[in-house]
This record gives sequence, structure tokens and C-alpha cells, in this order.
Amino acid sequence: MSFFSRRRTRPPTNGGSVGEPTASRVGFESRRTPDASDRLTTLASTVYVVAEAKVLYVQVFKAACSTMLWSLAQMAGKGPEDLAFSTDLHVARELTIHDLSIHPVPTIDRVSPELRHEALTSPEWMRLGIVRDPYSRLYSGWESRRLLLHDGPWTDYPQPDLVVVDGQLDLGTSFRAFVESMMEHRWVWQGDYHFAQQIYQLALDQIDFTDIATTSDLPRVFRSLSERSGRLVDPGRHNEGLGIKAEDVFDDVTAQRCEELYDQDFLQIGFPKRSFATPPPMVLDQVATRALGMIKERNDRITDLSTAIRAWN
Amino acid sequence: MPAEAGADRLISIQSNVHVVESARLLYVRVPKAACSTMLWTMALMAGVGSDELAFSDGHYPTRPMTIHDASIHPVPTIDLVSPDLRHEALTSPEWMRVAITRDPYARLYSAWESRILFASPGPWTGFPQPAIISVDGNIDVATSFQAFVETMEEHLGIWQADPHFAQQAYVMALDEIDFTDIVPTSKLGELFDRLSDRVGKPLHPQRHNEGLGLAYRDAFDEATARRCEAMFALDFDRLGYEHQDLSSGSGLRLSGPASRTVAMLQDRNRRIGDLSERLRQRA
Repeated sequence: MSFFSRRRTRPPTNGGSVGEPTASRVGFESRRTPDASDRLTTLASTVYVVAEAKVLYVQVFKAACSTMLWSLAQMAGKGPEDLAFSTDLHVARELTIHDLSIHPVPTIDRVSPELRHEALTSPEWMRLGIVRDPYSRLYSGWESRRLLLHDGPWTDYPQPDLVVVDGQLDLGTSFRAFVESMMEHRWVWQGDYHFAQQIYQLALDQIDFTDIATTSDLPRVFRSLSERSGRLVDPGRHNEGLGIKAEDVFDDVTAQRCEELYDQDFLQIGFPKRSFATPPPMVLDQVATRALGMIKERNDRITDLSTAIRAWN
Repeated sequence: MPAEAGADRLISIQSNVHVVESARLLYVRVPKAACSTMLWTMALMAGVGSDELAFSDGHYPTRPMTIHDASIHPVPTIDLVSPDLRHEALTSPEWMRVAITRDPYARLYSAWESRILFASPGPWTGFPQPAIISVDGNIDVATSFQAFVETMEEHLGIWQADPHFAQQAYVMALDEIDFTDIVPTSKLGELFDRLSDRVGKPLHPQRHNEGLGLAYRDAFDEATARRCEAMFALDFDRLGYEHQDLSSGSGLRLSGPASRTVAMLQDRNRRIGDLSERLRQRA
């Protein structure tokens, strides 16, 4: 049963544009939630509360979350130059927005009980989640964590080596081998936010969302957030990756694996399943492959410097 | 070149001159001319491997590059040794006084790629320079490099005050040190064989700071080659490098993924600069 059909037992009351799980539209906006309740028991540190604009945002990893965190900062009237320095292990300045200790918007575990209650229940609040097509999100998770070698717990998870032939990284083959291996060890991989199903990160059963938008709906979301905050919310794109599309790397077998790994995202959020033709080889040229090696070296150096700074604290 | 006695008249660049007493080797560092590899070679000669090097808080973008931090390098520079050892190193016929030099065209391109294209942290980020040029999201390396060289020529006094962009003849203090060996980067293998003999153990340093592997010739056009020859006239004249016909460079434009990867490199280098600066403030 999808989230949407389940919700039909408590239908939207505003006649708003609640989305049906069709190929053309996933999610909904301005959904009325007159019987919203305060029952959130998980996810405290990934739920942001912008009191002034009456917006609650639930972070879903690999679904424009860096962009959304910058949006929240803009709603609070803060830009990159206003943020404190982060000593956390982030590999780029723009990713330091993930450091909770410097983000200008508090998470729900840090606000008063009254504000928490209001944010979770008031009909005047926007309760927002951004979701992403599971095929694209799985590729993006692999690219950012494995291919670009961000340091983190996943470096120790079971995984195949990257496939390099004549100094060129065979990105398509490497990704498909990874998905095969992830399937075997899904309990390890999906214990990590970047690879977990989105419905669990949204706490879909614990938050009465007014808006669930896909990443392709972001311009509309920014207009809404601008109106609510009275400030221009135009964060630009962040954490974009190599520009590879799902169609470039998925074949039908890998797609079926993805559908199994993310079955609840397809079922409850309503993403349509797609078929994929066998893609032509997706191979990075030698320059890009070399540059990836250089990225790895810099990630290591960032780890060293960040660790040294934190040892001072 | 047969060993000859030299004179003790060095007054500049002392922090770039390393003294390996046990091997009786004096090495003068020329940035962008295999200097990372040579610094690691000297560390190996001193019996120090990569696992034994202390941590550096400098803005070096990779672990191997921290070998440039003089405060942790196991081999002292000449300003830190005794007057007697300094005198011996500069004058004794038993000492090898070495510098590595590089073709000026290749060196200029390499300096631009590693410092500017990659946005490595350092004083050059504040020097006058044009933006990197992209077309449809693809970095146009050749056009960006050529625009840089034109700007560099306009602001030569600023750029060539930095050792990565300075003439090699100045960086190696050619008039102040009586070298026994001036070795082009193309002959490094032979040099390592001789250094191995000198210390009585094989030296196989890894190559470091290699870059994207692009052919520098493709980044030049004729006008840029002429500018390079003017800016590095002494290197061509005194080090014996030949002028080349670089008028047929095929241009260099990176693929979309390569361009995006370079952008990520830039992001990481900026972050490294931030973290290093913060660490140094605390220290």
C-alpha cells in the first residue's frame, strides 16, 4: 500500500494538489493536516525547525540535502560568510553546512517543547521532505561515498574494487558490481543514511507532512520558502557530482536490484519503476581518472588536518 | 662533470639548499622541477620513510607534499648547519652539489596547472589572474593557460617573485653555488643510480605531484611560447634549453566528468587551506 493510498483513510481537506503516485507526479504540496499530532520519537537531529518562517524540514540524505540546508540558512538570513568555521571532516567549504554545531537553524531536539509541539502539529506550519528518484539516489550515494572516496564508516563495508582498465575507470561496470555486492550485504549498507531507504529517513509514520517534493520540484519549493521567510531563497546547486545520469549506468538487472533494495520508497512514496536498456560503456577518460586519484589524496589530507584540529579541542 | 673545489659565497636562497652530510650531497631545490621527488629521495637517504615523517600543519594538499615542510624534513637546510659544514658543503671537491632543472615550457604549464587550475592554497591566489575558462561546462585548459600567461607577463614582477613561477637560474642561485651536477628532469633515473651508489643502498623514490598527465605542448600556441621564452630568457640562455616550435598545439579541453572532477579538486584544496590556516592559528 502506498503512502498516498494509506492516507486516503484521512484525506486532505483543502482540495490541494495532493500528488498521486503516477509517473508524472510524485509527492504533494500544501496538504492540510488538521489532525496532525506530536508523535515523533526518532530522527531528532535531522529535523530542522525554522521558527520564524514556520517551516519544519526533514533531511533525506542524497536528496538535495546540502542545497536544502543552505536554503534553511538563507531563510534565517545567513549566507556562507556568516557561518562559523567548521572543523568537522567535510571535504569542501559548502559541505560544512552539514555541521550541526554551526548551522543557524536548530534541529528539533534543541528547541523548546512548546515550539516542537507547534512545529509538529500546527496547521500554519509547512512540514517538508524532499525525496529523490531511487535509481538516481543510489547512483549518487555510490558516486559520492565510494567513487569520490569521502572518508566515513562505509570505507570498511564489504565492496568490490573499482574497475580500471588502461588507466581509465570503468564507471558503469564498477557501479553495477557495487550494487550486486550491496545486495549481498544490504544490512550493512542500508544501516548508513546515504544508502538507507528514504521513507525511514522521513519518519513518514511519525510526521504529518504538508509537503513532500521531489528534487525536480525544488524551484517551486524555493518560491514557497521565499514567501514564507520573506527572504530570497535561491541557494544554487550543491554537491552535484560528476553529472552522470542513472540511464548511463543502470541496466535492467541493476534496476531490479535497486527496486528490491528500495522497495518501500517505490511502494510508499510512489516512484515509478523504469526499464533500462543496457547502457553503452561509461568509462572515465584518463584525465578524469587521474583527477579522482588526486581527490583521494586530498581527502586523506583533509582527514589529517581535521583530526589534528579536533585533537586541539 | 668532474668534481672541483667551489667557493663559499652563497648569500641567498639558503632555506632552499639541503645538506645531506652522510652522503656529502648538497641539493638546491627548484620548485616544479621534480623537487617533491628529490625531497623524498633525501629523506630516504637519511633513512626516513613516509611512515616516519612528522605531521605538518602546512597548507600542502596531499600527505606526500608535506615533505616540503622544512620544519619536519629530516635533512637540514644550509642555514641550519654549522659554519664548518656549510663551508665544506659549498667548497669541498668531495661533495656533490646538485640541482634539477626542467624544460621552461613544461615547467610553466605545470606550475599553472598545480597552483592555479587546481586552486592550491598559497599566496598566488591573491595575484592578478584571469578566471578559468569553461565552455558548456568543459574546462578549456589551453585557452585558460594562454590567458594566464598573458596576464602573468603583464604582472611579471608579482608572479616571478614566487619560486614556482620564478626563473630557475635565480631559484638555484647559479652565480653563488659551484654546482657539480645540473640534471634535467629527463635524466633523473641516472641521477638516482648515482645517489644510490653514493649512499650504498638502492633509492627508488616514487614520483610525486604528477598532475593530470596532459601534454604541455597542446596548451601552448605560438604567442604563448614567445611569452614564455621572454619571461624565462635566462633559463633558456644559461641552462641550455632550446626554443621549440609550439605553434601546432592541438588545444586542450577537458571532458565533462574531468572538468567536474577538477572542480572538486579545487573545492578540496580550498578546504585544505582553511583547515591549515585554522590549525596554524591555534598552534
